[in-house]
Amino acid sequence: MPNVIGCDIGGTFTDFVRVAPSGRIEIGKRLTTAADPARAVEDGVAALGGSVDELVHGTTLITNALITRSGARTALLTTAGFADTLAIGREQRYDIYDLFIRFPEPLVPAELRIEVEERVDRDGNVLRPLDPAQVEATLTGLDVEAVAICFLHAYRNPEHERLAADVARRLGFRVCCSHEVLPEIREFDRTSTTVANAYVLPMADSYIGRMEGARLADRLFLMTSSGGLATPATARALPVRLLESGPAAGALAAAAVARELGLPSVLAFDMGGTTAKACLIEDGAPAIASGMEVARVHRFNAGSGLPVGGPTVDIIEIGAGGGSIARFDALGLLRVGPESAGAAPGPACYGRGGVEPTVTDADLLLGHLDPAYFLGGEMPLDLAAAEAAVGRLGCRPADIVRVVREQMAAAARTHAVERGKDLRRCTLVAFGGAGPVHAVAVARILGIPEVIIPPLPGVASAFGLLAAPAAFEYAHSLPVMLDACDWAAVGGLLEEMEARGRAQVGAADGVTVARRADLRLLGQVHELEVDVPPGHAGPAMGDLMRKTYAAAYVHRFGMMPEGNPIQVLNWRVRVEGPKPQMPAPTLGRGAGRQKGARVVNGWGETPVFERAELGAGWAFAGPVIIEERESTTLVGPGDEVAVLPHGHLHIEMRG
Amino acid sequence: MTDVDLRVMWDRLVHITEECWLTIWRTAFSTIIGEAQDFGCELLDPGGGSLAHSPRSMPVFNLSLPRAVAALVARFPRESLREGDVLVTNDPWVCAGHLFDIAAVTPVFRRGRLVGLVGSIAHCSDIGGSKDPAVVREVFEEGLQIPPMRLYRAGEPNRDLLDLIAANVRRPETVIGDIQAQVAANVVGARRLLEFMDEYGLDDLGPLAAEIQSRSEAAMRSAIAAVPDGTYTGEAWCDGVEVPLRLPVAVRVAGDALSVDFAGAPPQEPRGGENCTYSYTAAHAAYALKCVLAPELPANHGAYRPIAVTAPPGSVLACARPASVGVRTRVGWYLATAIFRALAGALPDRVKAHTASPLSITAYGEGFIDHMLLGGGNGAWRGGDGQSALLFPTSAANVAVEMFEARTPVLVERKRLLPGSGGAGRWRGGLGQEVALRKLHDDGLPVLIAAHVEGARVDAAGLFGGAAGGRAGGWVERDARRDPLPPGGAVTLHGAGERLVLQVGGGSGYGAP
Repeated sequence: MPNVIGCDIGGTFTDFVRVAPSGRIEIGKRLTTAADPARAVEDGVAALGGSVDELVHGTTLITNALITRSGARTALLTTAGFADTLAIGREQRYDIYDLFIRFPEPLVPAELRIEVEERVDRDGNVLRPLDPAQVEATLTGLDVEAVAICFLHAYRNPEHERLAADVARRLGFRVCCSHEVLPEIREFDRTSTTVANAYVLPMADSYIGRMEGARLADRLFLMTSSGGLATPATARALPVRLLESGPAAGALAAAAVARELGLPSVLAFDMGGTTAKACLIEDGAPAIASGMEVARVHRFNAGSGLPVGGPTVDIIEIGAGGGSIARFDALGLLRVGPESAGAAPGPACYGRGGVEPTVTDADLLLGHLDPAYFLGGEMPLDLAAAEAAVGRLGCRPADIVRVVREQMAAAARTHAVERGKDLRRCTLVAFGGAGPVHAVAVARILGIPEVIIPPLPGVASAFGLLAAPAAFEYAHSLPVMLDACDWAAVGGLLEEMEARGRAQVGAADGVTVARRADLRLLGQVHELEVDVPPGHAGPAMGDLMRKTYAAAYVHRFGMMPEGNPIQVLNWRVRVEGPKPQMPAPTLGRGAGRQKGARVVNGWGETPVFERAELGAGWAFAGPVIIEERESTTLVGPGDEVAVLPHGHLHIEMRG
Repeated sequence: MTDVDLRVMWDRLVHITEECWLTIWRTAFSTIIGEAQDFGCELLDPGGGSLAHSPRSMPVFNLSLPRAVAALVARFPRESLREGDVLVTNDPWVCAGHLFDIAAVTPVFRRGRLVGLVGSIAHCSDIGGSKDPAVVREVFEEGLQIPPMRLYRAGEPNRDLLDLIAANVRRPETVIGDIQAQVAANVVGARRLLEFMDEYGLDDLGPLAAEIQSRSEAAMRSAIAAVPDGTYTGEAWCDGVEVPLRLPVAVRVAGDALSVDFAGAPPQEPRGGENCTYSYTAAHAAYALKCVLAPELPANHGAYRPIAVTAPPGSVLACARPASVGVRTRVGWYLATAIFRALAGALPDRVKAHTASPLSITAYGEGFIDHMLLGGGNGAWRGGDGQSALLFPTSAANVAVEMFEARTPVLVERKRLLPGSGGAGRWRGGLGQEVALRKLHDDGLPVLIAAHVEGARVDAAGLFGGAAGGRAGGWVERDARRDPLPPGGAVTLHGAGERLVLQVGGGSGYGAP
């Protein structure tokens, strides 16, 4: 095994896990340096002994740029007649009873949505040629950094987008074309995705460029939203594919725990400084969605955010983390988040100038955290500052914690219900710096019977980065009727995509190839994705696909109408390198000596243990606090905690 | 049953309807269902009272499906129903007000006992009949009427009925495919309901249904009780077939009950398809009130129990057979405006000013029938400008221009907001929009476009001194000529040189500018 580092840049902390060839694991955590995120990475890598063979990197910076609207000033070029596509959206109300719903402001303001005389029809024929001189005249002197280009039917014929992009690049703009970001029909979704990509392009480009320049590793990879690895070149061109990079790493970490412990149904719960995320993991694999929404106006309502297409781990993200700020809203009700104190100024108790009370401040005042043992004592917390901040707001710290837990539980419940899952049959796998503090309480609200806190939960996402194989996915539209298919063409396409993937993955052994296709009954509006069987493309493959499709159709949709011919639209190939061997973290030793006790609000005097000193088989009845450098686990009265053979804390909810 | 149990089970019922909804959406063959989402799914107790609907369900369908179920059960008494039956009707007087809206309902049995009903109403892409609403005088000219019938008997399709439907519609493979999507959704819903009952050991839904409905009813009653007693009157004006029509409303609040009376509504129209059946009127009225009174309350039979709706028989809001009803939205979509206006004095921060009627476009031609929906400008409210180009009171989505073009040889030349179309006010109405269409190919094949332009002849003043938004409109450009739209809005395009331009109106303002 080479020398590798997984590094996860969150909104508040940048986490590191280094695995040496010997299997030795070292971890690190630094405050994120938002102005120049690469700096914290350089410092963290240096602190772990300097450059390595491979660095895998996850980031929430791209999402944060969209949520906080701190991306580049961006212009949008559209087909003449369609400058308003981005503003008009789907015209659908996301809540049928709320008369006053709002939608997020488009990332490109009206004056920068610019029409270009050009038109391509549905078959890709040019109806009106594009005049590069008009594009040049339009863009010259425009005060923007980035230009998004989305023309109608560019997924069929991208020529006009290419011509316009050439002009824009020549004029010095950063450019993003819809046919490269999301070559799919439906202009609003494609435009929205293209604009989001352009908006974060300069920022992503400069910081990924900085990371490359720092030469921290021989090979640098970035985790994509779907849990695969991308090269820096791909990531710089398509940063929007990294939107869920950090969360995807967390989901992979939880999936690895689920496989290791044989848990069929898991709710991964990752609570960091800025946000919390929840993701369902069935049979050891995170659910994958075909797109996502960022910056939702209403956190529970699909349709209230900015749609971004492309495969992504199916995660719900809640503006609720340790740094989330508590405030009273216009109705006089206590709200926590989504505003976060981030790393700077951070919660009031960080003593870095924060004056508004946060969840971490409340946790400190309630005895959940030890002011002298945050980050293992590296970062002493200021109890008086926390008290002053909560006092100024005029609420009880317990209220802040209760509200944030209820918010997280409600979001997780909605997410599960929308996917038809009953959380009461799940195991909660909790991680992130703040996750273990609140996991047991959130599980109790949701009726989840057991909780797992993996080893090193504070840096679990960074671990997840190292659990990802190199993976490359290609998609191509080649519509055919399954009954009258040109199998030679299909075979050629599948082989060509596989060859590209194999070349990218590099490895010779342990490579897996998965092929899928979108099928529909002729005339249907939507498709159903099914596996394409391995082997030679031919009528036998067609027969198998027909059977697979019918079975999937009936499973999902109850019954399939008879006699309709089947059409295949898109073909996809995913080539995956060998799954990295994950070393088991070193276990604690000894029977677990109680290291102290402190008063926790509502529980009274509560024993405190050091996790590193708890060996497999150790068990205890709550209330109890288990501390480690990057996190603190709270186990409530009556609940039972035990250390499993691989070092996981297993908490059974009895209280 | 603890509150947490109730919450969890209630969520599950909603989720079951959502799975039904996704089944129809993902397996539909038409743009009106697969893209525009003009359908809704619902779960009902054995007595036919609604329990839960899918979150994106068409509001009027949520309210009319229980009426359709009542009619279906009247024709096929419960003891005659068998597992695997699917009942169907599109009768506008018992269902959703025009023949396009087909209800498909499946009784769910557990251990031989009827435990609930799962069903949907979906707007099929074609039902035969005239493509030009201006000429129709009776429902008989509007297409195939399906009285309460069995679509499936004990799991076996009623091929005679399916053949009859197929022979009467223009695109049978699309229409039958969509009906089968509805049947599949019921299969999914029935299966999930039984799984749910097994999981919780419920022998029947009765106690759960009673709890859900009585809590909802209590919440609605307390919302009504918070409105001062009194009679509140308002009105709205719509274009009408020949002349504009006045739609008056009186909302009476007495304690925790509320009644809506449309006394004074004009007589039903002798032609033009703009008549509302009582079933449709009642649904629109109750929906508008729910938005004002209790927007956060999950909707079901209980929530609507305290609300009574009346309209004079034989009027445009309670038309008698065989009135034509095909484009009844042109009247019915104003009922929210009239009710909001009535309640504006009592609840000034809970209502919004008039929202321009959406525009529905149907394109007919060789091998295709496809739809486009365009939202108008929404009315402003106290504290906010109206939303631009947003579909209301329907819950539909638009159809992506690229999807519409991929399925029809029609080119959309532009689709953009109409600057200045929002009604002025302290808070401004939302903007309407404009679309321009032409034939893609100059192949001589005609394309008929039926466009229900509404709000072209009347202005809807805003609230508290807000101004009316821009009117709807349209014209046909032929060479240098600009022809007005024909009455009813059905236009045939023959050559690529002809262009149809359609405008959706803007929303009205709130407060004096």
